[in-house]
Amino acid sequence: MSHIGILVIVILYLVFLLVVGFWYSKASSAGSSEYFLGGRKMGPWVLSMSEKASESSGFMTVGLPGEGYSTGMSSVWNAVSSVFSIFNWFFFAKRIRRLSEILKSITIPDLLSARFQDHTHVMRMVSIVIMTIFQTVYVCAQFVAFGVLFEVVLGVSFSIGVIVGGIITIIYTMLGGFFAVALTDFIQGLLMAFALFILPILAIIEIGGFNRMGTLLGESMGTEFLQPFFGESLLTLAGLIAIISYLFIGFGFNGSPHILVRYMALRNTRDVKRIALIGIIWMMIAYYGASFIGMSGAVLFPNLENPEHIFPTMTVELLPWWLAGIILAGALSAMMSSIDSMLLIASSTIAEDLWNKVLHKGELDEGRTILISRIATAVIGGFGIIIALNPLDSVFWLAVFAWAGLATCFGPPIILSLFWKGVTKWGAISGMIVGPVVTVLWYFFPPVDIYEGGPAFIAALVVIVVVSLFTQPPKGEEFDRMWDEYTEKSELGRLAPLPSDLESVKTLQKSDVSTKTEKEIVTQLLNSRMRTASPYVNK
Amino acid sequence: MGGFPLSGWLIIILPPVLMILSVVLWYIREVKMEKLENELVRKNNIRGE
Repeated sequence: MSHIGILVIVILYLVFLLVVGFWYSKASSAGSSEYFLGGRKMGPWVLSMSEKASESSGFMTVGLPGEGYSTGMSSVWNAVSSVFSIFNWFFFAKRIRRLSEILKSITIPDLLSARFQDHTHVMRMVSIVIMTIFQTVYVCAQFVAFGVLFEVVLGVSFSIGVIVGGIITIIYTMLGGFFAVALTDFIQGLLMAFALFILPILAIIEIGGFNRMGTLLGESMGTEFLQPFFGESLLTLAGLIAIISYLFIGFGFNGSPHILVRYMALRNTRDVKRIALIGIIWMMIAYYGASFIGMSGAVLFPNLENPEHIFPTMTVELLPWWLAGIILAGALSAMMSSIDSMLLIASSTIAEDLWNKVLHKGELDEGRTILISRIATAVIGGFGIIIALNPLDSVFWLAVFAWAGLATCFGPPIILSLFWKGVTKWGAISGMIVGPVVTVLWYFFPPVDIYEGGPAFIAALVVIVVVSLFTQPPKGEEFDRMWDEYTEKSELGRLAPLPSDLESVKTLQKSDVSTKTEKEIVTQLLNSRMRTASPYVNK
Repeated sequence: MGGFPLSGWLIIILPPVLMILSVVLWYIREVKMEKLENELVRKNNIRGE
């Protein structure tokens, strides 16, 4: 009964996702901006959950609990890497939103090309190639995780899990675009937070308390398991390298296009502060929750063959079937929200950047662009499913490549171009190539056993600076005007508000009595009373 | 300290407290600056009229 019950809940959840896709298919067909950025109408709650859900992936429900199970307290360093997400909110998000509004860009390659006046489309082509390769690999790895979860918990075959989950995610991404992706991500983000919050609490209660968990772990695994030094009782050089390696994973937050594009979709720059507050609380719950699932699991289920099975095992063993179904839906959410975002970004790049901007010189009508994007979603997704059905051993590790490859391609040029006028097109292109190349080389021939994303990110930054110093920066009246508008300061010394910000101030002032003069209040009251009374007067 | 060593407690407590606190302080600063900006926009509007 329990397996059937869980299966029914999961199927209901998947059907619900399809309904959301159909529901938003009409709204998303209104135009490219609607399809790719949700028409920049998404509120901070939806965008924040969407940002967190899409960046987390199967790592949060499969990888991190498994790491907590095998490495103990050291896994918590993953939570510390959230500090790179804070850098995004404090320093980059507003500027990305600002630049994309001024340059009227709707995709990341679009933004880069416009910023560097790349009329030759070299930058677009580099973006398209790297994005398509790494995102297809990442999507494929998520499909594999999908199949594993189906297999372990529901007893359904791996292939059916991959095909069913894959097809449903592809369909709702194709139909609903960013609206559907962001809204389903919102629900998925909440479900994940719920799952990662409730499961460790239940497990710790089952053990008999937090301190008892520590005592039992100390007895069975040794006190080193409870110290954040990777198996040592004190910080050693190897431990320090491991900590730096974990922190380097955080660079991915600053460069992944599916995260950065969410800042472009903001209603205005003022929403960033709310996104930050919601986001950091979510991250702390999710990261610590996932690590504690692993550690408590090491007490309750000490003999698991594969540490990464701890989340589904704990879900099925500790919870009533209906709650297990909901939490499993949360785990699937983690993967689906990454797949849908990656698919949308990859397909939008092909449709908007390759098909429209390069092949049709920006003259393709929006309906056709969306159609191309939907076809690209189906092709990339289908390709991902086919590879996932016969997974190579290294697929999971290629997913880590994908995270580093994408971040090192887009993070350095975007970050530098937000602050330095002198970044040149060739500087940016060199960095976009060097980052992913160093990622791959470091992975296969590591001079130091450290996560490849960190050195690759730094190498790309250095290359961009050096090449930019020796090549011709963007110039011309149009570019200077754009840069002046972008860097214009208000009397307060902050970046001057954009039209979208002024719109939000006006809306605020309309509803806020304290910001109005007495004359304005009286006039407004008279107007509103007249409007309210008019239907009765007409009768 | 119960079953956990001091370093274990520190990594459980310090990062979330510091990170959430930094975002909260930044949020408060942003709200204050936005109020000043609103005031500025209002004054500019009146001057414009």
